[in-house]
Amino acid sequence: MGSQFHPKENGLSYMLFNSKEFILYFLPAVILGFFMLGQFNAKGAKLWLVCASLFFYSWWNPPYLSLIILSIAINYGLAFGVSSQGEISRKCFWLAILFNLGLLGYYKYCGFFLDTLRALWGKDIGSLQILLPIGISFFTFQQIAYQVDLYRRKINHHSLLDFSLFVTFFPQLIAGPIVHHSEVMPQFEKPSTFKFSTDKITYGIIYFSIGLFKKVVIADGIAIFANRVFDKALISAEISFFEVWFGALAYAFQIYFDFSGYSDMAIGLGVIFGIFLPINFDSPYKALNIIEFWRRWHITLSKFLKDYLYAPLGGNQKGKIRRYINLMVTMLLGGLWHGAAWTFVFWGALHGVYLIFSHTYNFCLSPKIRLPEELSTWAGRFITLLLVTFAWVFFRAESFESATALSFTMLGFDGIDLPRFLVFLSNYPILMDCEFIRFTGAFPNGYLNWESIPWFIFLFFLTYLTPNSHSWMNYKNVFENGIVSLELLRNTITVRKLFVGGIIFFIATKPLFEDAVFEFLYFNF
Amino acid sequence: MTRYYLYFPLGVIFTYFIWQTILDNYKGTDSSLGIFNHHIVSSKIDVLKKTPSPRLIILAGSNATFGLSAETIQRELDIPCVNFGTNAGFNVDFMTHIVKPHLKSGDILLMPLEYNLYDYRPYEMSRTLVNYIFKAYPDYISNLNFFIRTKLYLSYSYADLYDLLYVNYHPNFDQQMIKLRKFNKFGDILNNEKKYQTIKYKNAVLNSSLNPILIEGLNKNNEAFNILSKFFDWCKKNKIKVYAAYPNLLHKKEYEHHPQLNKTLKLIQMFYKNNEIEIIGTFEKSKFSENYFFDSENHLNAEGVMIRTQNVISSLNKVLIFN
Repeated sequence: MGSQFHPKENGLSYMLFNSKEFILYFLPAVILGFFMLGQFNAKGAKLWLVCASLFFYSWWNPPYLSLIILSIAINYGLAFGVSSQGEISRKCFWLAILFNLGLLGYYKYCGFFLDTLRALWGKDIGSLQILLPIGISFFTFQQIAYQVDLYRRKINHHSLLDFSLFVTFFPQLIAGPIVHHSEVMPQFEKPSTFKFSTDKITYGIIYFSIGLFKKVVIADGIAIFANRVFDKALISAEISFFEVWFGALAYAFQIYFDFSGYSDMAIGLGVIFGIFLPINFDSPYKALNIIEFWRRWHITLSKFLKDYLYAPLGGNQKGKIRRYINLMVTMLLGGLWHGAAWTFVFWGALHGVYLIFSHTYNFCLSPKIRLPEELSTWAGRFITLLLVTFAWVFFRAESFESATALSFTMLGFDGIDLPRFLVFLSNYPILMDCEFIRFTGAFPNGYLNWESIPWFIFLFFLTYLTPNSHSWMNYKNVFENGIVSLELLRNTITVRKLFVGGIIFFIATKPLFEDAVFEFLYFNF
Repeated sequence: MTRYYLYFPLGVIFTYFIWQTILDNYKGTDSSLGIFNHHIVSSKIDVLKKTPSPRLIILAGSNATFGLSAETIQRELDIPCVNFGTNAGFNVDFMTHIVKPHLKSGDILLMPLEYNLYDYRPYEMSRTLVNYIFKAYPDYISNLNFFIRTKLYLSYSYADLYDLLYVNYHPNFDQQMIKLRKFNKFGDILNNEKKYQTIKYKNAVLNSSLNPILIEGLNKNNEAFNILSKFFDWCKKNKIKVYAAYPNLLHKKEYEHHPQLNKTLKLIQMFYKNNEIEIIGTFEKSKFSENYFFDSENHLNAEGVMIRTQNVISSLNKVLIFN
């Protein structure tokens, strides 16, 4: 990924939500401090939460604590100007945008652009070794949203304590969800937030456990299959058609369960502190088309890109061609937001193309094609999954070359290896002299085998036939229009949910007693 | 409200017992790591059983296997010698537990224990140890107290359970790992000549960041010292002479003048002095450059083993003659 290097390579480590340090020491201490202080003084509890969040952030790399503090201080200072009137407001607003994009650009994209320039010119123009600050994309976007909302007079400027809490609140600090000021801060104004509530804490723990289960058991479990294929691609090893497809599918499940698991943990942690964060995933693989996929995947980022990029560009208000250009620009920048590499840009471009086709199909063909509802639902889901999985290859691959090689194999350019039991098909005239189809086994290189298939069946079942976490926890009803229904929350925690929650909690936390710890994929973005 | 405190913990306990039942059901069966260590330990126990007493037994983790040649010691000192180097992933409690039944009066123990073995935390169990205990020493589990036993069950990882099931349902499972450890009739490693050192092994040495001697927070109250003291008392009672030695150490620039290094060394030296155990050889002579290492910063190659063995022989010669 260009000249960026990641903390792990530098001997630094994050305080992961699934780490012993977090679950056994940090979290209980923060909960205890928050509610003890909250009994007497809400400001004290807020300050405690800010300090704890900064400690959580600094665990990764203490010197970078100054970066987030500087970012908060400058944004806070400029926000005074933005909230004033006339020319000062406009100037301060653009200064704030420039500062945030400059900060993000320097830490995340500087090395990438230098590498690109070097590749284009063929001259050595020096290189930069910049450590990518954890969560910078998230806290920068959140502050940009704040400045825009302030400039548009949608919100009022708050105290330094409230602003700091809004930016640093640890459940969402390093991997989202990207929250709007209006979604979180009014909740911190309510006295009930600071009162110890067994209901909320139990609800939060169950929600957190579900997320932990998704990450630790499912995402880390399926990652083995994805890694085998993508690691082999890096050394240009031979990989068959089905091995690549299943490897990519494994990654599709891995990233979904990893990231949605993280979001569930963030929501669960939020609820423990009486804060209801926005939902970030809504069963995206159940989407019938790509447009719907982006309404269900990383919802808070999609919303940010729509409100603060796509809409200001003109959205769909300036004709079809402009709409498609706007879509493409949004997706390209969305891709670049995920990582400073051309693979991410290409991933964004692919989704841009998918979206344009999807809109065109909806406009021109969809009304003319009539299929039975059940069939059209599953066909839609199947095609969406195929397209998304194909695009994930560019997202996951560590080089453009390996991504291209894998995608060519997926498109069948290297032939298709079918299972040996289908060899009777070779007697059919159409396949008799076809060199393109081979009967050497679906997994001839052994990177995957038939024993890995039950994993995929289990994940298909989980993804398509079971309710997602927020449905199971009735989250949308418990927290509707910014209002928490404690009665609904209490009714949600049934005896069955408590018992199942206990089972999930055990399964998810047991790895704390083991050696290995995996990282969350989205920390790198 | 009571239901919160009742049904959630009930779910946790219920699942724990299911987990424990599954593992109990597979006690004594094979897993990749279990087979690997079982191969090492059972090979060494075989050697021990075949070697007549009194004998010199080298007891430590794999730094003994990849550090000393029992064959050379036997030849040069004319005393039956066994290399009982097993795995540094075992802790001192378990290591002494497996060797005790095979020790006899008149035996001499030479213990170049790895530095990490002086840092024993009962609630920290390596995957190596957990897998091996379930495979070969299920009776050891029942001797543990309730909390350590619970921790042991929890330490068994999902990946290892998957591996265990895989190995159990694939009788023809290719035991590649076993082929990596070939021993002679003295328990010495056979395939650690330089010609067998792959690039992967070389990189493992060059990029290693274990720094085994820099044990932060190590102090005299560590449980390892207590366990070893009890073991030495037992040896004394059974007329088994014990000598200590320094393990192999990859010499690194960062060790020079490192305060933690001196702290660790002083603590270990004081411990042996208090227990009236003589340390064979010097710390300086246990240090080697990376050229003498094979596949990790604990494992010497054949050339390194020869140099180290000669050093130990000359030190042993003096004490054995004197005694």
